[in-house]
Amino acid sequence: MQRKRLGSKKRSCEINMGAFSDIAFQLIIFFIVAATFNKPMGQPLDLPSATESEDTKNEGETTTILLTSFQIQLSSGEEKEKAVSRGDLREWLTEQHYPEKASDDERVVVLQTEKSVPYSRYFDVINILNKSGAIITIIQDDEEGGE
Amino acid sequence: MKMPRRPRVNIEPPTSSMGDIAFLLIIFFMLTTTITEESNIDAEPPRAEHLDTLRDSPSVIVSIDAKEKIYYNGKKEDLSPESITEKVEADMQKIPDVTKRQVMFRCDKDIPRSIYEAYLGAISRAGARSVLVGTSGVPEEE
Repeated sequence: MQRKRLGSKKRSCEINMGAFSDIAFQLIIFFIVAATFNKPMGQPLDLPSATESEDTKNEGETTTILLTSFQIQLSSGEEKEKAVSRGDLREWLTEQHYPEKASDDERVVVLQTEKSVPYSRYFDVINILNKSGAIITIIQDDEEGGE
Repeated sequence: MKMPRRPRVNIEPPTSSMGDIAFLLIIFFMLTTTITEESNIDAEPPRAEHLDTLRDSPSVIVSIDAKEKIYYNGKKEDLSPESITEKVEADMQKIPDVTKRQVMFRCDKDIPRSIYEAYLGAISRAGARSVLVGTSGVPEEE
């Protein structure tokens, strides 16, 4: 009697890789859809790295901007604490042609901010100053956490 | 006369390498993507016109959320301005190129000056340049 050999047919033991690429592409699509492509936007702020404040020299000549919660006050030369709007400030700064000035001293604008001024307002004025080419100097209080 | 039949040519493109290509693409995306840990911070950035897109992402991120909580590189930490100076200083020492010593400063739009300016001063004292993060748009009216 002839014995029938079990498993005489050759079985393929390879894993079916046909769906492999489909899975991989599904993963790619998932990552692309789920990812949020957000490029952060912002502006640089170069502050002097002095630890102690120096007395302001030539106070009368330096342009000073006093930022309060309700208004912007501009002092420069003979003009003292003149209330200006955002548009006026931008226009005035553009007229100064800061990038064309020879020395850095002439480009300095002192920014003084009231304690209650929200960050959004500060950010906006910094943006206007940056665009005008002025060098920003801020005045910080001697005593922290006053008020 | 009967023409001899040509043997059938299999015109299916070989797809066996498609999986490899796809996985290479996945690996590429995973390596090039920077995952920000900032998404969980409740801080609405201020708006301003004509902001620049930040190309070089600073290695240090200091954030202040709407509840005035401080985050250092996405981790909530109870840090005073003095401790921020120390931490930033230590991190900046690792960057040899001085021009790349930048700190991304992300702050909620309603935070008062007494807080944000203290931290901006602290970053400056550490010898780093602050990059203020905002969104492009028309700023809030005066």
